[in-house]
Amino acid sequence: MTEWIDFTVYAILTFGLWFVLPVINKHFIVPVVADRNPDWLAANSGAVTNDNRRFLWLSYALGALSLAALVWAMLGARPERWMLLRDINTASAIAGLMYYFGCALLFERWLRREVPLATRRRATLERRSVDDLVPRGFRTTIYSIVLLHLAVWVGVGVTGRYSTPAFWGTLAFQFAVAGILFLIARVIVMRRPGAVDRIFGPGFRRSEARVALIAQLTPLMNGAARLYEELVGTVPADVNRALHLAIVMVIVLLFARYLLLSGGRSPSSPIATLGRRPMTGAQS
Amino acid sequence: MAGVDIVVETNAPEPVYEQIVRQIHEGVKSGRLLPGTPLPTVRQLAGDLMLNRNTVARAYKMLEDQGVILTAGRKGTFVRHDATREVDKLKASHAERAMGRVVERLMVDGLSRDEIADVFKRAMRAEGSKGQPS
Repeated sequence: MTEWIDFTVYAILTFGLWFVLPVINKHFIVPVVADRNPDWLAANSGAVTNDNRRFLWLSYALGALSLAALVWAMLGARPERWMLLRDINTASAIAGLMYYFGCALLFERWLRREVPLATRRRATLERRSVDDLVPRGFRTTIYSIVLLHLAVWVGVGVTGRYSTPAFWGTLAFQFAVAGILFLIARVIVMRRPGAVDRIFGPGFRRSEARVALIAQLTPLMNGAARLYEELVGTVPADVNRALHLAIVMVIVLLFARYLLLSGGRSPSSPIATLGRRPMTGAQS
Repeated sequence: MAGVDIVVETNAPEPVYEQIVRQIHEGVKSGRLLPGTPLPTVRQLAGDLMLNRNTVARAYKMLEDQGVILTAGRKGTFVRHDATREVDKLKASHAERAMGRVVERLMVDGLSRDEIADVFKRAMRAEGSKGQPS
């Protein structure tokens, strides 16, 4: 019965990832082009299609496939059904990440090839600093926890108290994930002001930085469970399952926040007010 | 400090790094960039203006040589406490050089010092009367 909870959480993520996100993302195409060169956009508005059907239909197809797999796993009489649901969701999420990464690369390539940089460009002389976005104490706390976590892993490795041959690989993974998330947090502070700031408002970078900082704690849950396995023994299945669900629910909550920020279809939503806000990047 | 922007035109005859230098001079002179104000890093400004980092680095180097800004290692780049005086000195020396060239030219044309002074006074009067109701 409780597997319906797993199913619901995973289905919400799948629906958001494959059906809602692409619809929202297509609204960013025009503002991003406008950031690069508003004059070119004005002269070539026809070249910028705001309704990329192939992209949308492929997203919907992959989303439908993911949802069908979840339903198939849920309705069949299988032992450890939650594990199958978890694995389907993980595969769908990884495919989604790769898909969006690929689409972003293609879009970037198109942008650089087709849209010349504006000749007139504006920037602020205000220095952006992480101190302005996240309180130092908050940052210190997060980084201390992450460093402590990594130090414990190294300590277990150095003292040879680990019990599986996969230990060093997992340790390297912990460092890689921590490094990537750290870099993402840095990039968020430094990134050029653009369409997202215009759409979501001046406070967006602040919340983005805070979310990126908190996100550094999420791999720690899994890391702690793996460390427990190295030191004590197998993590109870229910704990493993709860951890996985907790991580997915955090992602779903962040996703819901993003949806709320991007607004609906009402005339007053940030998306609907595009073009009525002052430009911060290139300008005509 | 908030709201101090810089605008560059990449197809203008004035080189981009000089546009940056000039606008920072103007910011200092007008009091919008106060002494001690932190400036963006080279990477940030180059990224925001979609320029090569060397262009911004060249502008910052020039401003540093002129004594307008100060780079304090990892702390970043700041407007110097005596930046206004340095900008005034720069403008004065620039004006002197420009005037020197004009005077030299006029002397080559055969005008005496008194005649040049007279021409200069008339030019100043004409400039002063511009924009005044007739």
